[in-house]
Amino acid sequence: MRLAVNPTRMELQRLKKRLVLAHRGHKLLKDKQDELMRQFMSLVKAIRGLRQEVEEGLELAFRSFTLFRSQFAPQEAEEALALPSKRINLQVEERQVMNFRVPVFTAQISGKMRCYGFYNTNSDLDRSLRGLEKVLEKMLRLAQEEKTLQLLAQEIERTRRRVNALEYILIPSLQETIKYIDMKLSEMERGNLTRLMKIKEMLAER
Amino acid sequence: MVDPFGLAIAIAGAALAAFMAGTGSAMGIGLPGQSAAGVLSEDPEKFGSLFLLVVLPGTQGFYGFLAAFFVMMKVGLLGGKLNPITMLQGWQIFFACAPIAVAGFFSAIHQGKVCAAGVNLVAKRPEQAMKGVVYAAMVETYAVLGLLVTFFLLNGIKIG
Amino acid sequence: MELTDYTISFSGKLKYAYGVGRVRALERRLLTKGDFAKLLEAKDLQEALRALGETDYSQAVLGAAEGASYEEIFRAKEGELFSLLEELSLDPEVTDTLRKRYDLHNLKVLLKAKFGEEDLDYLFLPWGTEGVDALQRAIDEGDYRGLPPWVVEAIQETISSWEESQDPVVVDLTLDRHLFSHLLTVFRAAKLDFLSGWIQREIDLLNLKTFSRLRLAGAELVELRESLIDGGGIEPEFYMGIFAEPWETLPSRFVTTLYRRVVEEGFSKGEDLAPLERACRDYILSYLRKARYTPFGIEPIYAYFLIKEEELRWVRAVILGKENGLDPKFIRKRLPSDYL
Repeated sequence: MRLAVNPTRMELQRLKKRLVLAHRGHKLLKDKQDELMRQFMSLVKAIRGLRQEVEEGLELAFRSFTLFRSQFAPQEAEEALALPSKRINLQVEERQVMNFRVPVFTAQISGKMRCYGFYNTNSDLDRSLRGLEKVLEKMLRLAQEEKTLQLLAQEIERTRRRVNALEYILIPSLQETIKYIDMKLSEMERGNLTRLMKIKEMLAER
Repeated sequence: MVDPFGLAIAIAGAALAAFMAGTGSAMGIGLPGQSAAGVLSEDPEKFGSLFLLVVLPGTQGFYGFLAAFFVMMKVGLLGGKLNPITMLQGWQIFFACAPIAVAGFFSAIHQGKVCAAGVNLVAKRPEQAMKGVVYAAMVETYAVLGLLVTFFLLNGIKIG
Repeated sequence: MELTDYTISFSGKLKYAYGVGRVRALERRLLTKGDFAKLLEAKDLQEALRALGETDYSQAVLGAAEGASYEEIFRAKEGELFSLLEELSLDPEVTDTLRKRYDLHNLKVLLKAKFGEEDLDYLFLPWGTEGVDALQRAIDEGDYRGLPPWVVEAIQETISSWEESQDPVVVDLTLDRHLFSHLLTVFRAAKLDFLSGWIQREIDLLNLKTFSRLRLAGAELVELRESLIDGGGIEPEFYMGIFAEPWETLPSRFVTTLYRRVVEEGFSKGEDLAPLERACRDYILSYLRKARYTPFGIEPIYAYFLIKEEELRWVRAVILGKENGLDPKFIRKRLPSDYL
């Protein structure tokens, strides 16, 4: 697509500069994209393991909890947990990584997990809560890293769009315009030349 | 020596036999009767197999009645003509009645307990009903022995 | 034994002849291994409920409105059970002990609601002996009129220990302790050896489970001391003494107690306590089953009620497991051996 510019030598000069700039920008963005991609992949790999651990831990905890619940009347099961003693204070901060912000969770966990007596509860509940306690910190880390991953993915997408814009729109149209101006200029030159030759011929006849 | 008290004491013996054995039977039936009612309220078809267990403690009352009847015949209360009874004979008859009176009373109550347990057995395992009856019948033996002793003793007392 | 007491008096044990007969007939309708197998093998909730409808629970299943939750079925069955108890009981002060568990539950709900400043009214269970309003008044306004002394003591002690520790565990433990000592007092006063024996065994086994659960959680000895309940056949000191010993040597410690088998079976799987909990239930159920050899008295009725309650619990477990898509093998692992 040709840019709407006057086919002047000045313009040509300007466009050529822009093209050089665009090429350089494209290369830089491409590098950035590759680097982001690399980070993304390694984070994905790290998270996959963590996610699996968390999911397994949660499944175990939930299964134990379901087992506990099924052995008591629903009111009894809920009563056992009606007055929890564990407190979690979650703080979210942001940190600058590359040129975007990632969240950082800091959790203050206080109190003990067990908040019930032994009569009318059973070891399934113990096990469920122990499992949750174990998985809790991993869950926080997972949440933090998955958020980072999401932001990273967005950034990659944005960069890719810019690279594409440069690669498929700006650079080709600059090139086309340059080519056009080039052709236009040389045509004008040829026209001039012909005119001069014609004038020279006319002068010679005279 | 005919004594007006002789007859009274003999009658007391007969009354004792009928009264004690009868009371025992009533108590004895009462217990399995309650148990059976409990079972029947959940399982009415068991009436037939429970019937024997409930009526079994009733026999003692009947034995008491027999003994009393025998005394009545002996002293002539039934025939219209009273036999002359001495004081000593009166006491003899009285004590002759004691075996069925006492054995009947206690055996009926205990048989009632055995029968109530038998009712519980039938509630659980209807096919075992006869075993419950057999145990109850073992208690019955001693009531029968009591009746026999009473019978022979009365038979041995010579009047007139 | 006095003659009157034993032979003639119908006011003692013998007055329960009707009730015992009735319970004997009802015992035939307890769910069998076959019934439980059918429930466990059902493909889904609907099929399980249909299987349940063919058992003693048919009335409750039919009675529950179309589309109503299965929890209503259990509620209906519990209601049936309690009205039977009402009908058969001639010694309310003894049979009421079967309702105390629910008083305890309601007390816990009320106290936790107060301490946590939350509204937990939806957690009440209807089977207690004390009205929820009376309990509420006692807790909120200190108006203890009409409440039995053990409840008053339990409330007062719980409130003061909460103010001291702010620990919900202490709330539960204090209340549980009061319940058990109350039950023990009632049975001892009524000279019901079978039932005092039962509650003693319950305390022992609860302590055994507490001991094992705390070990597994890596708790301190102090915590164990606070959690054990007095009144059982085994002194708390015994558990304190062996708290630090490895699992392998524990069974040998229990050889001289009543619970040798329970401990052997229970600790066979190492750190998994499900076998222990099942062994405890098996032990209690087999103890209660001994009431079948008692032809007279309140014991068979009491035992029937407890056994039925246990059955209800496991029917609920199987049905809930079905609803949650739980693999039946997990329930099977916990089901008392009677039902397997």
